[in-house]
Amino acid sequence: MRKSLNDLRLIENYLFQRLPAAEQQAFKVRLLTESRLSEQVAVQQEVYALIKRYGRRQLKKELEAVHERMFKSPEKTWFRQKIKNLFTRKK
Amino acid sequence: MDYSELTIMLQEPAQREQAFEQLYEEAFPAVAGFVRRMGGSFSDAKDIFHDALIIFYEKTVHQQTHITAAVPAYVLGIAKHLWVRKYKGDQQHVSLEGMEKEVSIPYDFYEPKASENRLLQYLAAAGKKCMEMLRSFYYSNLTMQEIAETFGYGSVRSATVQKFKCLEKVREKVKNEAYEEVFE
Repeated sequence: MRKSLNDLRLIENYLFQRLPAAEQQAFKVRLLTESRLSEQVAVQQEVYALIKRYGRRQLKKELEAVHERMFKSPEKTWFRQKIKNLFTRKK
Repeated sequence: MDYSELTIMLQEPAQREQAFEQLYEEAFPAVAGFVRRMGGSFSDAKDIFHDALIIFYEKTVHQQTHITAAVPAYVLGIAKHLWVRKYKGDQQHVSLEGMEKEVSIPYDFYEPKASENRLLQYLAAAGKKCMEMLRSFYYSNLTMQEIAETFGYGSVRSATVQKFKCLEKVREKVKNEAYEEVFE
């Protein structure tokens, strides 16, 4: 892998705490002195947060599709009726 | 509903929808009943339930949380917490029992700022395949072996290189977006 990809991998292993203890420690020390590196770490953390948000969003879309099926498909009439009763019954 | 079986289904992309369907049948009625008692509507129940399932998914797939409670009861516990968060004043009316008190909502769960949403849409449109690959690894916890097969790479090695290229692509976009915001 080219260097920039290897750097990404190193930061990833550091963030996920997958480096051997000594390397983990050495990386931490580098962060104190290399401001460019700590900037890269911060951006990469943002990237993982973004992927998580993307994952949640896609999952939500899948749930919408399941919802649609649960409340439209003929085999699920019993289920629909059960829920309908909940919302029409007096409190 | 068997918890370990459900966990396996949630982890397997092809079986995930079926797992959600099962969760709907077994856990949605209790959540809807709760929301109704709290004065919420059907659409409130749906929103709360979807969020609760996302949190449940993350707890089982990412953290491999050991859940001893029955799954529907656990999902209801999450839903109650979400309800309390949504309607802050309501706390005293929601009684949390036993394990429900232990349930937690991820700190980063609530919707991000509008600009981040924009960025997310941009990413989804710009590189669907990359985003799906990244999602498979970092969010769905698939192995690189499974990812290589799903996305048609000849080896784990080439899939791994591609994964880091995708990560780099996203990183460059995040960097540029940050840059633009400063000079907007």
